[in-house]
Amino acid sequence: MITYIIKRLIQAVFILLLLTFIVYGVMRFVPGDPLLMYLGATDIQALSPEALDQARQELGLDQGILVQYFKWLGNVFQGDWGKSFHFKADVLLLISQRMPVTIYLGVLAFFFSSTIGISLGIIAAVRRGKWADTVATLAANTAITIPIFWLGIIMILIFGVSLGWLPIAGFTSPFDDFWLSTKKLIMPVICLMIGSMGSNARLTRTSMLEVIRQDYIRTAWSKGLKERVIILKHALKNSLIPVITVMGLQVRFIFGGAVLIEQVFAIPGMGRLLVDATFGKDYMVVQGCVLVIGIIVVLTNLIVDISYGWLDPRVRYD
Amino acid sequence: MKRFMTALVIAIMLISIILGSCGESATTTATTPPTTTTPPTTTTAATTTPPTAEPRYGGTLRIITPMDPTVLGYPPQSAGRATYFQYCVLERLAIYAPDVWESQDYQGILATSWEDTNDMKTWTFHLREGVKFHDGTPWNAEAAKWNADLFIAAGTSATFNDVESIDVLDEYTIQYNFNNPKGTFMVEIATGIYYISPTAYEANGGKDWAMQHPVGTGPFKFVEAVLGSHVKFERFDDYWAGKPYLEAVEYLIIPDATVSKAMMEAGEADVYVYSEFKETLEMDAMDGFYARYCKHHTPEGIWPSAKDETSVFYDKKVREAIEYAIDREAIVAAISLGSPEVEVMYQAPIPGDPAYREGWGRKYDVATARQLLADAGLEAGFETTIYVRSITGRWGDMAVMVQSMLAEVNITASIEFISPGQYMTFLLNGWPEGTLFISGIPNEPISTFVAIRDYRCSAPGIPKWNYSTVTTPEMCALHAALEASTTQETIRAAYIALSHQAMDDAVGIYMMDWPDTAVFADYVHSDWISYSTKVWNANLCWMEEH
Repeated sequence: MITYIIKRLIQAVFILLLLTFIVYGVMRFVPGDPLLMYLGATDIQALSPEALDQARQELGLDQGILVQYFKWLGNVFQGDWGKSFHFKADVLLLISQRMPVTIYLGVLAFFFSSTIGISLGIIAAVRRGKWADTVATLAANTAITIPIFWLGIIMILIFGVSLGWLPIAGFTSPFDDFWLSTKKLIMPVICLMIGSMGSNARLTRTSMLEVIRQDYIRTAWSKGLKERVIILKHALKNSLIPVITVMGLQVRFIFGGAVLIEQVFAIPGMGRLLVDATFGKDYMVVQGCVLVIGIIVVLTNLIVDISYGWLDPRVRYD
Repeated sequence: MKRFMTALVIAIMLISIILGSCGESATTTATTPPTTTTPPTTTTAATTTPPTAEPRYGGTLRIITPMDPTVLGYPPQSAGRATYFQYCVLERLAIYAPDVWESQDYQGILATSWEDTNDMKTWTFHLREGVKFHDGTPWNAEAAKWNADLFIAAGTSATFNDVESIDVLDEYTIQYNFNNPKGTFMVEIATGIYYISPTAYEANGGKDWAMQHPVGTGPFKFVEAVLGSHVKFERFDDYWAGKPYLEAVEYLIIPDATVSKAMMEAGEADVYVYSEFKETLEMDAMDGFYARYCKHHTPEGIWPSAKDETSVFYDKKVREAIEYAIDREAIVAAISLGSPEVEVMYQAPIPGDPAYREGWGRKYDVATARQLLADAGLEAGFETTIYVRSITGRWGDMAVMVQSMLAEVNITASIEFISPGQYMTFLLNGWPEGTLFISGIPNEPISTFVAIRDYRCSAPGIPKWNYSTVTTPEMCALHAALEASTTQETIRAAYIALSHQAMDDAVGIYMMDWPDTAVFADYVHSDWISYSTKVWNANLCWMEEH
């Protein structure tokens, strides 16, 4: 297993290098001079062409893209992630401020999408053809098809404006005010988890239906075991293998969704930082965000792969 | 393995909660509270008109704004909308007078009076006495000189780049000596030169710290800024113009207009500044809110690139034809959703301006447009590109309408949307020859300043930061005359001549006077009026019980 993990981590390094290189290239080919974004209107009006050239040199923008990329990479390894053109602040500082918020949001969404989705899938499979199956399947299909941006706005109008039950926007730390923090996160988390929840429910249902037809489940029934024990102890574990695979992939969708949701609910997370940076051609920030998101997604997938061994002892990592 | 996985899940949950809490704590905080003991004066706050009802102290004014501040406390790098976050904290020597559009005059803040001598090369300011920065540092001529030196060292002020010397004449008198006449010095004083505490700056490491920690003399002190979330200020009890009514001001950074409107309706915010036009009109019509429209904020227009004869727009007839081909009334009616707050423009000067010519303009006339094109040898039309700053909002709509109107006179125009970075590049280096650029122009109430900025004839080659690329010999001569003018009379005459020449030369197609907007809950008493977008600091703002 250790050899497998090391091998995967080495692969991950190459994936991240490729990812950052592609993003770096794409950002630099977007029209517009990053120096002008950095300096802003006031400076441009005042600075002489010589001063502009000097500023370009100081920021390393006079060098080739490849040179700039490897310079950036070298600096990243030394803990210098560059400076934001827009916010005039260290990228690492900006990310360290925003990332915890997004991870908190993402983990909550991941947790609830998994638990609720899997539960719905189990109910639908066990009560196949009954009203519970119909309701759960309908809920899952609806959840998959709802556009989260639209859902966010609708929830704001209903629960925020009309009913006044929930705060509309912003983020409060759970340690500052747990109740307010929870209220503020209800709508964003629902929006972020709903699609994944639907997928999990559908996949669990399909997988579970296959498993409960297996001989060993029939044997368990014939032994007179309780339904709860058969489903949760014997059937669920095996039916979760495809679900876990998809859940690993959903991490990237949750981060993708965070870009939208943080914008709608004005949450100061990394998704919003990424949007602002992209529009502002703040490529140092974009690079930093992509690198962090890449690391999270790669590591999550590694954890998912490792978890196969726990779910199915037949899986070997040699 | 099972235990390991359970522990892993629990660990992730705990870490996420801890990290989540860290996100909020990653803030920048204010410096030590001010130690000043100067009692509040009874001086009438110079910035605004007093509210009409009986004012009440207390409350936190929550203001929605769509974008983050980039720089809070380092004036040499302040620009654009980011500056309005500073108004609460940092002050200027003078600001625009409330009636600036008519009077073209200024009002003293940190200076009580000023005069220019020596053909506008020497400017002397008499500073307000008894003023202190929020950290207790006294405001005087030395502090003013220190701030000017900061600008000179940064090299980001065109005016200060030309300074010969700055003399401290006495504790409250400072003199700026320039190499050349600085007729627009007061515009820069009123818009871009804020004053920060030298002591706080130097005691905390300088520029990097100051960027996010403003320490000024304004009515409110900086408390904290959480990028992407909020910026908070609290009342400065020792403010020189009297104790502000509000206990605190909190800017909430909300990028989405629908969400902003919902927050106002839900009572989660009291003011929504830089509001989207559609939402402003909707809320203005609702009970519980009122809107304010800051006129003359952004003239919108179409700018043909015509730097040399390779451009089809180099021929004045073609530029005139474009003007005649465009139905401004129809475009404005559509984009403004029928609101009278957006006015059609046919010339750069606004009514009341000395250069304004009643009834002047090239109004929609397709036949004349076709005739002019025929006279220019372009009866069969030509192809061009329309560059637009944004795919969404009024610019995108305007581009599509202009495209269809140009098609009526056989001009085939494709539309290209440009990124913010490309926009800046356009302004510095110009846009491709023979193309059109749709954009708003940041306006200033001092029309001579705008004329000098927008009709500048730069050295051959690159026009620098101006929208008009047309540089006829007549315009260049008039521009030089305006810059060289040193008395109010000659400035006025030169300005009128240049402005008329620019309009006659069809340098650009002025389309509409787009207002800046803000929405207020009806319990908010605000002095945010027409000129306020450049000066408003909530000093005289107060709220009824609600």
